[in-house]
Amino acid sequence: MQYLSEFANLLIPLLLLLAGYGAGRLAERRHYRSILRREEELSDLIIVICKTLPASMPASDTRLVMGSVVVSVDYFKRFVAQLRMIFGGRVHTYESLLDRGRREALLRMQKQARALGAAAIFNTRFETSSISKGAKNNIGSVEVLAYGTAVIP
Amino acid sequence: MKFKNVKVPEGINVSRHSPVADFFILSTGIVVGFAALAAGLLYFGAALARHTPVSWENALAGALFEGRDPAVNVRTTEIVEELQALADRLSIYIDLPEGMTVTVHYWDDDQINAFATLGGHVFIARGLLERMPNENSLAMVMAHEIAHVAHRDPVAALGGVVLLQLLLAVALDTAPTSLEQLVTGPNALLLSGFSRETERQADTAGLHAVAALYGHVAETSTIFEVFLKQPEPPELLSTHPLSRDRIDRIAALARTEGWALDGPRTPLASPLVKPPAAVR
Repeated sequence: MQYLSEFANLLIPLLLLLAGYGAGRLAERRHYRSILRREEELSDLIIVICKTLPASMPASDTRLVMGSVVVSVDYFKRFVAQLRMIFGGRVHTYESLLDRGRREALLRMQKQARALGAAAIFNTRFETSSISKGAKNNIGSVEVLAYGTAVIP
Repeated sequence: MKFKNVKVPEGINVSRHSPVADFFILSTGIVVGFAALAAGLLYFGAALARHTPVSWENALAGALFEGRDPAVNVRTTEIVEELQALADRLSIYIDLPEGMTVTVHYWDDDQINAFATLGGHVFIARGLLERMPNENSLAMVMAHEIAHVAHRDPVAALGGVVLLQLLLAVALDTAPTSLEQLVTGPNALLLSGFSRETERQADTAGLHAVAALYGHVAETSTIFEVFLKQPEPPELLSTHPLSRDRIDRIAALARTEGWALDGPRTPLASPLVKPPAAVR
């Protein structure tokens, strides 16, 4: 019985690592395919970080638009990141998490702007916050918020 | 002014780096690092333990072995007396630390085995005794174990294991509840072997004692010849050097020291011939 529980103690993290790797890889690939497709579709909706509109751009209305996304990293990547925290260096496995978060947030903001009939978004800003704070680092998730001023011609 | 969204090339913010490669490199690093730390602690703990007073070792042995003596009857008492007498004769030629005495125990077991442990306690198994053709061959085993006691190898092995146990307790966050658990826990038993180097040193010291007692080193290889007939694990997996190497070492040492490889055999004392299984 004791052997069984020790076996389970070893097997469960191993299964979680494998499942995390498989599922995480699949989810990431699908997400990137979707991101690339939607970036293409929304490429005509201009995103800039300028605060003031050029005189040439007509604006009948301006609105606040936001795109927010919460993404979690898989068990495998979190495990690798924890190993990385011992030795230091670039945490490669978290880079794609943040990249996906930022691009998805921009896309959602653009989607909102498109629904309003906007031609461009000015003064675009990002906020990133870690959901894991205060949860003893048990949740490896980030929230990325993109917001800006939609200019409706 | 004209605005345009430019497609950002991929692979700048996200490095195309395999997480699996990262995983293997990092976990190898951890395993190697931990193994190096463990080896260092084993070595350092052993070195420290060799400097502890003999009275501490005796006190620890007393606490651990109290009331755990095997069943004794008249037949085994005779055997133990004879074994003890042989040990006492050999101990004269082995430099035991101040306050250390050798106490021999007869261990009723089929294994071809003998071992020395804390406090100068030496155990000789029935299985080994049954395969010894004369006193000379038994003396080599006995002298080897007494040499371990003299070199304080048992307490050194324990010292290393205790430090390693502390590291594991810190790393795995499982505090041992008592000193005894630390000393006798499952890992302690698993790891408390002697290194091959200490085995070689015990062989050398034992051989010196046998040569001094009998004037020759005949039959000192007998125990290893017996082991050779048993299936033996490869040297890497075993703490003891391979029997063949030990036989060669004995011959080489006899040559350099000028010991006779042959000489009159001393017969075993009668209680040691065909030793009985303890009557329970």
